[in-house]
Amino acid sequence: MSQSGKLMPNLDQQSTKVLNLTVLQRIDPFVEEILMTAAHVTFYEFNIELNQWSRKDVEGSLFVVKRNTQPRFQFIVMNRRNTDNLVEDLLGDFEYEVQVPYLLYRNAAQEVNGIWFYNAHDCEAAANLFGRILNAYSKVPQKPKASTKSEFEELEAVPTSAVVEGPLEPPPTSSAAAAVPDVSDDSFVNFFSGFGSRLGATMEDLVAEKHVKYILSVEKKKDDFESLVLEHLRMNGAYWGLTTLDLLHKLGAVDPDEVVSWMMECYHQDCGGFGGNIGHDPHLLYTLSAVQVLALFDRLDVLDIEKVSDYVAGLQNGDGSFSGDIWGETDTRFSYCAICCLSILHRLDKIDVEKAVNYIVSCKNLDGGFGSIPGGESHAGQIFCCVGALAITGSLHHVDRDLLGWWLCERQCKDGGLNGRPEKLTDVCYSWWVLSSLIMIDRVHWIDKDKLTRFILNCQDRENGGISDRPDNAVDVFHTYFGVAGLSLMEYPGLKSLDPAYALPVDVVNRIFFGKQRAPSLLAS
Amino acid sequence: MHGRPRIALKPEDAATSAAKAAKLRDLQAQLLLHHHHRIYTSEALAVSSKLLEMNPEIYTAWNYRKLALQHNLNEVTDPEIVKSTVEDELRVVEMALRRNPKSYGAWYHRKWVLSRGLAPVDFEREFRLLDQLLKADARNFHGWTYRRFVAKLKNVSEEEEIKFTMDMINTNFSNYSAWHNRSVLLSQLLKQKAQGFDSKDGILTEEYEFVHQALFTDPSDQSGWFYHLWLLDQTASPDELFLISSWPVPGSDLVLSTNEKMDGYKLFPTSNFSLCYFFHKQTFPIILYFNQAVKGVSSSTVTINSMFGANENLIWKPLSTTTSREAHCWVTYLNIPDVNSSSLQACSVEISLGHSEGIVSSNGSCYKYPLQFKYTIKLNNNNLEQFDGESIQELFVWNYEDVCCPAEIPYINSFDQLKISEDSVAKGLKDKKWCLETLSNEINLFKELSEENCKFVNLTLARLLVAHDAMMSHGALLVRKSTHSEEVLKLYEELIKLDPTHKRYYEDERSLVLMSQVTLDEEFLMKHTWHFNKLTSSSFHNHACLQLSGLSLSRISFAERLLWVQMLDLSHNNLRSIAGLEALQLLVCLNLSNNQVSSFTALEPLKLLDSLRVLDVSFNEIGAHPIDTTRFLCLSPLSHTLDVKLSVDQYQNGDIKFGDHWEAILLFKDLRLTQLDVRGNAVANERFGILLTEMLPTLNWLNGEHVRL
Repeated sequence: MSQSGKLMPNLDQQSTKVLNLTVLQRIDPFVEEILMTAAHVTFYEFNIELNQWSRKDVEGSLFVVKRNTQPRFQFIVMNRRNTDNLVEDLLGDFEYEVQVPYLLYRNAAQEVNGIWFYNAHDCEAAANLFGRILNAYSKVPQKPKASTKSEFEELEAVPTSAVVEGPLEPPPTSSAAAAVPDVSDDSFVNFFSGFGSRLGATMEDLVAEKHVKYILSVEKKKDDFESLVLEHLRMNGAYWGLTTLDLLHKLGAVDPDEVVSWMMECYHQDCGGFGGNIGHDPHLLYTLSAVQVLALFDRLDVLDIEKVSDYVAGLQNGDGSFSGDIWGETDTRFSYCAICCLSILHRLDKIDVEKAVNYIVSCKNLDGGFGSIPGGESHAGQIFCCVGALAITGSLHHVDRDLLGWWLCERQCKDGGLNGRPEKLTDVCYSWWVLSSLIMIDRVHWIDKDKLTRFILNCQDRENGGISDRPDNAVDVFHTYFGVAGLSLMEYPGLKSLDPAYALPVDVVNRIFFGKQRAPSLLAS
Repeated sequence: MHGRPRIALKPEDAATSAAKAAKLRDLQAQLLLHHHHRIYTSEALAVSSKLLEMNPEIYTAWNYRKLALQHNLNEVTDPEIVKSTVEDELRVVEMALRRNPKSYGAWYHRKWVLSRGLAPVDFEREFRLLDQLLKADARNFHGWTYRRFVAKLKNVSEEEEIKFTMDMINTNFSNYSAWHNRSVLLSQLLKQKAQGFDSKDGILTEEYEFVHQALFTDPSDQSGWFYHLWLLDQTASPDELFLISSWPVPGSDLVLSTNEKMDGYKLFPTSNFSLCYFFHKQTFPIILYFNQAVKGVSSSTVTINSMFGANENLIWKPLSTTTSREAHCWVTYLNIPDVNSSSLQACSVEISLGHSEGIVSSNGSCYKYPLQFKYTIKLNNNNLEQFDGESIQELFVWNYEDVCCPAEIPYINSFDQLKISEDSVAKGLKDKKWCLETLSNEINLFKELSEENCKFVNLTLARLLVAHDAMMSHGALLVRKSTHSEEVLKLYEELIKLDPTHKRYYEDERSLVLMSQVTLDEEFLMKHTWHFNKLTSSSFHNHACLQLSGLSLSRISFAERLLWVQMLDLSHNNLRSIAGLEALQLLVCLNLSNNQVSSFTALEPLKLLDSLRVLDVSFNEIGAHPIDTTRFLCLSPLSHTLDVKLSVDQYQNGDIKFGDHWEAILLFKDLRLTQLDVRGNAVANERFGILLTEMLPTLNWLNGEHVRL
């Protein structure tokens, strides 16, 4: 056999094969021969409704086998993640495409899957083998659905060894449609277009389940020192944790009523603002987080929207800036909080937007970035706040996008991670601040997404879940959110997409601006 | 948790941690109790200070102390008590900063206390504190912000603070915070033309020398390079405001014919080249293009004398995809009346601007060069026959087999329009003498260094060369040919190899140079200009077509050189953005196929092209990316730049959900396309095709197929 599959160590090729065959025959007694083995593959599936890829719960060794009955050729994946092995028929309605190290295919059930091969040679070898099998058999005219039997009879007649060991080039006239889908077949091509770029070279995987577990555990842990230190900003923590869960499609794991009722205990009825936790003073930082979390749960109806928006609007100063609370600290972070919050509540008309924008513009620096107050040094976090506020108010023309874009893309360092200011250390949290800013000004292609993806994935705690600031450091909810958010912004498969300005999932933002909440005003007009 | 290793706690550490936690929990509970019951005794205050020493981030505790101070000093007049109360607060802040020198709450508390003006500020102490903190971390931006606050409070002169930045930089060149503060202070002084800072040239020359020391010490450190870029910008960015291009070309003779069967007019220059222009709604554009984005173009700042209506009725529109009233390019439309009676009636159109103030650029400079030019339009209703029956009914295919390339391009004299600014430019060039010399010096300096393969050296050199060329091209026409574009292209090639992480940045920069190169003058443009005069499809007979396909362009620039283009082929490039095309008001056909456009929102500039009829965006990436990078760069409800209530009503029916397709709906509802191709995009499917057909009542061809009879 010319196919050189991945071999297990300490066993010669032949005995490994015999061993594998024995194992496979226990699952499927009709397996006659292993044509090829790939030691490690991971599966992705394409959701046609959502138009996105996500991880499938299949991972392990892949075997292409010949059987002594129909269906004649299959591939089997011995799944390490659970007991369901994956089996696909190679003949019949099977189409595939190669984007090394991925092999993408559509099966008879019209499911679209992607196989990632640990070893790129395995990917090529598998594609090669599939091509020869399909080429040989696809000469058979398309089956009429009723008479499948006769088709199988015909297949029997084709000598299999000639197929497997035959010439590498397919005959030019053969219906290579299977290997190279006709461009007019939009659906098929489109599923696969951009797949490679979206997955990039993500050798490391996102341990999504573990992160979910970690976040849920943090939610419950309240008594150790680390949790206590953060207790006053638990509202921010709720936003970070819950948004992460939503990005991972697991918001359902928490009880919205429980969260909402706790949140309302942090609400100050007298003024309309939210505190960071029960008993703490109201502040814009936590009012925004509260509004965002309610938007996540589609529960903005629990708010006295006029009261909350009056509180936010009341913090605008004469120069257009915003104070964080009644004590008057001014910072462009608070401009963002106020503008984002009022926009979500559809109450932006309660403030002087022009003045607010002019104040932010007055914090613009000669390097194109923004500081916390006029003259303050540019910092990626502040830049996100200012660019975000300008985006929401339709004022991005005040940004020199090339100048700022270059400053921001130079935040990417040799390790692939991003820092927040020149000559500082990289940190996962800037994945959010730098990336979202770059996206809003349409310059995110100026960084190397694959390198950054790898950096974030390397900061995961693969055992216990959670993401840290840098590889091998202690994890926390803050960095877990910023890491997952960064991956979402880089179109990592399986994650919900995040809106770069509102810092909420795109579907939530679309619901706010195009959803049913606006229906009453539509009917009125 | 910043910078803490991921290790499990040892049992003894866990015990310490638990003890600490218990103490923290206790203090926190007490603080909240005191806060809620307004207990401001010295014992209660001691609890809050202990708590803040342990965790300076508890903002409620700082609030509590502010309330306590207000409460305890209410009606107190004894300066000693006031002084000691203030002293207590300053001490708590210092303890907190020892725990966390970046605590927002602590820094603000100090500012708040000092701003009360309760007791005289001991400035020595404040500067000592700052010295300590900036010594521990010279990049602590809280420290720098606080320093600016204290300096202002004490009325320290900017010159003195500039000296401080110099000291900090001399201690360590790699101090971006100091460079930043220096740029802030210097630009303030230059703006005020303060004593000793009235000669910008002199100051900048000194700054170049200063920053060179840093750059040569460690060329891989970013800090100095950003400062150098700022100096370059100060040197090379235009102060003067010019008109750099216009359409129609000054001095041209145009013949305008009408055809009842068309929804528009045709227009021919009187040369033998018979160029057709196609406008709808019986209008005729006048386009002005400035070297900077300007506001204030109106019938009072620009006067148009013609028989086509009174000047004061003309409405000037900025060609901008934002809601700002600023743009490089402005357009107004003359109303052309029906031409039934006489033939060949010559009408002169005279444009003058600069006679009154009001056109102002974003950096505040005013347009101040009086300028007058004219052209003639002849109305003609005779030679209609050869164009009979034309309307864009037939499928247009971009096919260059039947075209001929004219030996001479009549519209090329559009470049002579640069002459309109020649006098002013000559004057401007004299002022630019220092700038050009400085750029040349810098170029020579970095050329010597460029052997060392440092990316910042190469990038700076490329930027210097581009700036130098730009400054020269705003000058005389003679030197336009001797540009450095080949050298710059080579530098970007090297940068792509040297720093692959930022490859796409260099590609975008390179694209600007490529655009500049192919549009530089008629000789270059000739290679890309075609004339579809043997087309089977007569609709586009004699349209001026520019073919810029397959050039690796990733973005558009130098649109001012392309105002005359009616058909533009940009296929097979790497375009992600088409920003800039909004200036091409004559554009009828646009081919963007086989590029990297990834969303409909990226096509926003098309909304400003009234003449556009044929659009090919096939084989792009529309719909393939869940993250839309132009979502906030178009007019939409998300940025409060567009109210969609009406559109939602109109399109929210049956299968179509407005929220799912708002990007496409908001784009196409304003276009008057007759042909559209969206094949090869992830978004294109049958249902989407139905939506497009519904949205575009003028559409005849979709994806190469007839959609209506």
